[in-house]
Amino acid sequence: MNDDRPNGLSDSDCEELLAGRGLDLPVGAMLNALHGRLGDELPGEAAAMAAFRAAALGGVAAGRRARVSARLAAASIGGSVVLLGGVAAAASGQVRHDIGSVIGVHQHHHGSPTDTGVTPTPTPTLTPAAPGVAPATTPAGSSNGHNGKAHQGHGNGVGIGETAQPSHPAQPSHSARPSHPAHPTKKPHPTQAATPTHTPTHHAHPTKRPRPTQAASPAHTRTPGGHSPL
Amino acid sequence: MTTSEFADLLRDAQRGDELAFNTLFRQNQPIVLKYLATIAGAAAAEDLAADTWVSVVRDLGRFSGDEPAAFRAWVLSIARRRWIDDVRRRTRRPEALVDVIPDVTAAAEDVVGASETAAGTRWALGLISSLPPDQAEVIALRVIGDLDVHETARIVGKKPGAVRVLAHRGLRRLAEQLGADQANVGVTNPVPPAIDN
Repeated sequence: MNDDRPNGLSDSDCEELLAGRGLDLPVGAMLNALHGRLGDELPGEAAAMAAFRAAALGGVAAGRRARVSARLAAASIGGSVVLLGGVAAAASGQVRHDIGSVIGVHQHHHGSPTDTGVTPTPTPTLTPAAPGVAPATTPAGSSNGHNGKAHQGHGNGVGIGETAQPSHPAQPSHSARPSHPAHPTKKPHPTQAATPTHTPTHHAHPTKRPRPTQAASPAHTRTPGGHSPL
Repeated sequence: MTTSEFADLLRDAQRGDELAFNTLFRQNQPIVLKYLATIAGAAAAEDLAADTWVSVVRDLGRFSGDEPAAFRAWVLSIARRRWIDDVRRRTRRPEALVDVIPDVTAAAEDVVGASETAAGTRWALGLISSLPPDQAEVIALRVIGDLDVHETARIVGKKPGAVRVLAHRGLRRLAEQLGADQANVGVTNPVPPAIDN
């Protein structure tokens, strides 16, 4: 550039000085003095470290807040899923059916064409004309040996249809109430006869005929007349 | 410090290691102070340096360089922004400024001996501060910050050629102040003529 300045510093001299060389020049020694320390202490060190600690603590707190927020978001999503599931179940009628199953209210479902597997009319396989076919459609009656004789005289077909229902014999709520069929003035529910815990002592009443569906129970060993075949 | 050592140090500091951050601070704070003393004056240098380190702490996690020079350039660029903010704030709210520019001749002594002392450093800073601001800043970044012409140009927002010209002009002016006629003699008696009686 301009190498003919009175001070005699060429561009190359300047680059040498800026690179830390050329200390034999007074300006070089002066530039070297810039690398010295201003003092033994470092002003602002305590403040900088305090700011660093505060930032580090802030980062920890921010991370803690982020974790809590993530948990809350996950919980809200889970709650939403459960809520939607409940709404869907209520809309489909499943909740009403389940509640009815739990509290044992089945009368509302009897005879309903939409009930699962329940036919309101008696099936020919359970009629006395076809005694040997009934056990094939009612698993509970497959080992009683009556071959459908217990259904004689029933006629309405309601109990037959209920015993053919696949889901009701497995209801635990009926077996938990063994005293209900023994009520003298109350007609036991036909499906209760399908429960394996049904005791035969209730049907030994001399003036009461056993219900047709009760004869379908595998634990039932009584004849329709209350006498044991043994 | 090697690049890998600095990378480990920086990573530890970014993870919250106080010792690592203190090491970075001790390595760079003298440079920040001298740079700010050159462009803003010695009186404002400490306050501006404190603001600088607050910003460094805040943005340390976002720095992604792995070399000491890159970190130094980053810190000095933050210091420059804090200085510009301070100048704007003072412009909006004028106050009685007491520009503390050291008397160049008052601290005149043997440059060789002075280079090892704090007084010599302050004297050299005073000389640099007597230059036009753009020349003083470029020389400070190149000499104090030990940055190359490209890093310096990026910080001051000029082209490398312009930075080079500013640095050369500043050095020639410094040489004139120190006595161009004694430059060829050497540094055995570099005391400015004004007090060399």
